[in-house]
Amino acid sequence: MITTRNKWVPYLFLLPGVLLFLAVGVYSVGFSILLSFYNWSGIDFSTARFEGLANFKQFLLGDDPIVTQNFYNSLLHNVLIGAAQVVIVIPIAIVLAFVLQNTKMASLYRTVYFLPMIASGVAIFYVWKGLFEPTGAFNSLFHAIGLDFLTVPGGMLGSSSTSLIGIIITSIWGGLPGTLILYYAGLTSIDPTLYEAANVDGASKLTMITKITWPLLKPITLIAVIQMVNGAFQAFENVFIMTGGGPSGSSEVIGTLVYRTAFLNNDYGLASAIGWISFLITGAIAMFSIRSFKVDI
Amino acid sequence: MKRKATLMVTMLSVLCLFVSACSGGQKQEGGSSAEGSKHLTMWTWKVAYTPGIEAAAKLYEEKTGVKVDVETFTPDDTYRQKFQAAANSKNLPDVVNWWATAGDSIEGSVLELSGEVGDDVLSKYYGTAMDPIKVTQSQVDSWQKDKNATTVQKSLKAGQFYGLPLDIGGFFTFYGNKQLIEKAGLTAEAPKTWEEFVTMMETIKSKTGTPGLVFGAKTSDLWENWAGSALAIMYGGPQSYIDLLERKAKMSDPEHLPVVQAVQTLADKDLLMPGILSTDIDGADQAFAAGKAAFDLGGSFTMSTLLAMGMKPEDIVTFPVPPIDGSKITSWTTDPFTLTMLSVNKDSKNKDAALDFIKYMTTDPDAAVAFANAAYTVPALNLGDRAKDLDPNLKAIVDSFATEPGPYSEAQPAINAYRGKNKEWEVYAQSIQSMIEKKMTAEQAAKKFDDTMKSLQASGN
Amino acid sequence: MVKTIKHIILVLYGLTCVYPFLWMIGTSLKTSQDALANPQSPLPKGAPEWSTFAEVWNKLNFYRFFVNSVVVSIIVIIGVVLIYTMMAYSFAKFRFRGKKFVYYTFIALLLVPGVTTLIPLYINMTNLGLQNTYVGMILPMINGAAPFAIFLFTSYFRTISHELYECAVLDGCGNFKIYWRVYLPLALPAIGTIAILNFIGSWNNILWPMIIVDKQEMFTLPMGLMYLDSSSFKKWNELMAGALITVIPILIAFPFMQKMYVKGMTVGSVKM
Repeated sequence: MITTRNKWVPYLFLLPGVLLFLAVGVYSVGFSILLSFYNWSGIDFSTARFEGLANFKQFLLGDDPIVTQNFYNSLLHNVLIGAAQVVIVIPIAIVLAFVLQNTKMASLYRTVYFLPMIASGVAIFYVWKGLFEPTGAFNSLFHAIGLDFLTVPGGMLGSSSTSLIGIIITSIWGGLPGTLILYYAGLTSIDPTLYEAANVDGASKLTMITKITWPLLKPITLIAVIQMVNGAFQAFENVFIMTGGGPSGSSEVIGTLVYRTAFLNNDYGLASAIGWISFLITGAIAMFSIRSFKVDI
Repeated sequence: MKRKATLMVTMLSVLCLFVSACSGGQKQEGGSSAEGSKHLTMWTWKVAYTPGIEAAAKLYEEKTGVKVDVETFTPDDTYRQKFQAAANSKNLPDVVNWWATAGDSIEGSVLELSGEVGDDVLSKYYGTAMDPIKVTQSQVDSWQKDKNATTVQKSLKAGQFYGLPLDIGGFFTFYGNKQLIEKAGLTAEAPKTWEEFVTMMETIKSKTGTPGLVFGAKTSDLWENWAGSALAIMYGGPQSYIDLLERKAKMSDPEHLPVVQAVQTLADKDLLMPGILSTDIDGADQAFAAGKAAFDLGGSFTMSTLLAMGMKPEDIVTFPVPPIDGSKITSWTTDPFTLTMLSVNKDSKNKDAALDFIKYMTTDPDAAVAFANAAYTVPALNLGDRAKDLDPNLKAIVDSFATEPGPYSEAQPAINAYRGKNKEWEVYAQSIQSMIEKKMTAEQAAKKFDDTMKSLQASGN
Repeated sequence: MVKTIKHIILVLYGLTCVYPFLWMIGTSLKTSQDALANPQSPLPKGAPEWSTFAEVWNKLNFYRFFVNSVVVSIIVIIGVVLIYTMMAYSFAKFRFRGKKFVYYTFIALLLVPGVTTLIPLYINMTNLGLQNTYVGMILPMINGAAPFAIFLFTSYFRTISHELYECAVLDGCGNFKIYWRVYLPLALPAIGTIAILNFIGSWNNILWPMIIVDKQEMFTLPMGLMYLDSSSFKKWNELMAGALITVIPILIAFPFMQKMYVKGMTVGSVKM
C-alpha cells in the first residue's frame, strides 16, 4: 500500500467508474429513495404528493393492516429462503467440493455442474414448474420409491404448505453451482505441502481441518452467505413465474409484493419504501455476517 | 509515461461526460415523429392483436395516406413497466392500446376525450362499451375519500374518459368437453342450475375418472372475476353485490354465503383438477384441450385459444355460469364489457391524426371487421348487418352476447370502483385458494372477509 | 466401495443439473400437439421434429437479434473489465482519503433493490437521450456489474506481491503503465471469471433491454424469445427451440472458459 507523490493518481483511476456511477446510478438510487416518501402512481412526477413517513407507517406499523400483514409475511419467506439456502447449500457444496477435488474426471463433472448457472432465465422456471406438477417427476419419484407420504397430491407448488419448499428447492438448485465453484476453487488453492508438513508434525485430521482448511474456507463462506442472502432477498422471477406468490400468499416474497404494489396497484411510492427497507435489512444481515466471521471484505 | 496515463484516463472521463452531456438535446424521439409527416406510432401488448391492428391500419393508410407503425411489447407486466417508463420521459407513441379502465393513473399521460368525441361517435359502440372507460361519480367519491388514492385519481371528474373502446368480450363462460360428457352417459347440454352442473361433474368424475373443472386458479382473484361475481349477482340481484362492494353488507349474510359455499362444494367433492392452484390461465386451457378436465372456465376470448390448440368447435359445448338454486336471476346472459381501449398520447405532435385514427379504427365497419377477423376478438363497434362478415366462430360469440345491458352492467361501476381498492377482496381471493385446498370452510372465508372489512374500516382504509 | 458411492453421488447431482436441458431439447423436438399433451415427458413421442428450429429461426429476425446480443455482451465485458480493474488497482495499491467510503458504496450497490429503481433509471437514461441505443442498454449493465467486479479485482490485486510494483517503479514506469503492462496481464484469471459472469448476465438480461428498447431491430435474443412466447398460448416446442438457440453460444463457450473461471475465483476470492 502506498501514498503517491501525486495525490491525484488514485482518484484518476477511480474516475471512469465513478463517472459512470454518477451518470447512471446516483440518480436512480437517489430518486428511488426520495420516492419512498411520496404517494406516486409511477407516471409523471409532478403528480406526486409528499407524505413524509406515511408509506413506512403503512406497512411497518399497521396503518394499513393488510399491507402490513403482507409485508411481514413476505419478509418471513425471504428470511426462510435465505436461511434454508445457507444451511443446506454450504454443507453440500463443501462436501461436493471435497469429493470433486479427489476425482479424476473433475473437469467433466465441473462442466456439468456449471450448467444451472448458465441456465438462469425464464425457461428453467417453467421446467421446474412441470417437475412439481401433481403427475410430475417429484411425485412420480416419491411414489416409485415407496415414499408416498412425501407426495403432494396438489403438486408441491399448488399447496400452501409446500409451495415455499418448492421455491427453496429451485433456489438451492440455482445457488449450489456458484457456491460449489467457490469452495472447489478454495480447496484447490490450498498448498498440499501444508498438509504434508502437518502430517509429519503428527497433527490429527481434525486439527488439519480446523487449522489449515477452515481458515481458508472462511472468507469463501462469508461471500457465499452474503450472495445467498442477497439472492434470497432479491428473489422475484422464480416466485412470480412458479407460484405468483400463492396459494393464499404462502410463497409471497418482498420482490413479488413490491412488483404488485408498484405496477398493479400503481403505488410506486409505497413499493419504493418496501424495497428500501428490504435493502436495509439485507445490509444489516451482511454487516452482521462480516462481523461474526471477522473477515474483512 | 505519467502523461500518457493521465491522457488515457482523461479520455475515458471525457467519453463518460459526453454520454451525460447528451442530456438536454435529442430527447424527443420515441413516438411522435416530426411535424407534418404522415406517420403515427402505436403500442400494444397483445401479439394476437398485432395483425388485426395492422390490417385496420392498412385500410387507414389507403384512405388517408397516414401510415401507422405498430410496436408490440409483451407480456403484459413488461408492457405496464414500459408504459410507465415512457410516460415519465414523454416518450409514449402517438396511440396506445390499454386495458379498458378509468383511474389506472395513466390519465396524466393520455388525452381526455369527452370534449373531443361526441355522442355521434359514442352511439356507434355496443351499448355498454363506454361503461368501464367513463369515470363515474361513485369512483370520484371513493377516490376523494381514499387517503391512498393518487393525485391523478383525485383529479378525475365524472363523465371524463381517456380512451375509445376497441373490443369487447365476456367472462363467465364454461367450456365443456363434449366427448367426455357423452362418455359419462350424459347429454352435452348446458346445465340449468349450479347444482345440476355439480352433479354433472360428479357423474363424469365417477364414470370416467376425469376431474370436473379447471381454471387458472394460480391467479387468486380469477374465480371472483370470472365466475364468483356472476353467481353472486344472480343469487341476490345486482344491488346486493353492490352493497357488498360498498361495505353495506356482509359476506356471511344469507344473501352471499351460498356463493362462497359454491367453491367449497367444488373442493369437498374433489371436482377440481389436481394442481389447479399452480395452474395459470394458459395452463388451464391447455389442460382442458388435452382432456385433463371436463370443463374449463373462461371467457369469450377462450374459444380462439382452444381452437388454436387443436380442438374443434363441434368438440366443445359452451354455456354461461349457471345460477345457484334459489337465485333471483335464473339465467345469465353474457353481458359483454370492453376489454381494451385506444388512447392518444397527450404530448403527441400528431394529436389530431392520432385521434382521427382511433375514431376510424373503432367506428369504421371495414376497419373493425378487418381488425376483428385478424385479431380474433369482437369489436366494440355495433356492427349491425356487417356482423355477417365476421369469422363464423366470432359471429357465434357475438350472437351469444346479450343485446340489452344486463345485470353485470349494473354492478360494473361498483366493481370497478371497489374490488381492486378494498383489500378485503384480496384477502377473500386468498381464502378461495384456501377453500380449494380444503384448509378453510365457506363460513370461515366469509368471516375472514367480514373481519378484514371491519378492521380496514376501523383503520381508515 | 467408497469410490462407487462417490461417483453415484456425483452422477446423481450431475443428472439434476442436466435434466432441465434434456427437457428443453426433448420438448423442442416434439410436435406442438405432443408438447401440449405430454408436457412432463422429456422425450418426444415418435420421431423428433427438427423443423421447429428452422421455423423459429425464420419466424423472427434471429440473426439480427444474435448480432445485437453479441455486441451488447462484448461491450459490457470490455467496459466492466477496463473500468473496474482501474478502480480495483487504485483500491489495492494506494492509500488515499475517502477510499473506504467509495469502496463500500460500490459494494453496497449489490444490495440495491432492482424493481424499485427501474423507472428512475429509465427516466435517467432517456434524459441522456439513450433510449433505443446500445449505449443505453449497456451502461446500466456495466454499472450493475460493479460490486462483484470491484471486489474480485481488488482482492486479486492485493495478492500480487508489492515488490513487483516497486521494481516497476524503479524501472521508471508510471502508474498507468504499471497497471496496463503488469497488473492487468497478471489479473487474467480474474478477468476471465468476471468476463464469464458478465457474459452470462448480459446475454440473459431481459428486463432492462425490454424497457429501454422499442424497436425490433434493437432486440436481443432473449427479447426475441419473449416475443415468441406471447401468441394466444404457449407453444412449448417453439419456445424451447428458441431458448436453445439462445443458450447455445454460452454452452459452446463455456467448457473453454470454465477452467479460467475457477482459477480466477481461486486467487481472487480466497486470498483476501
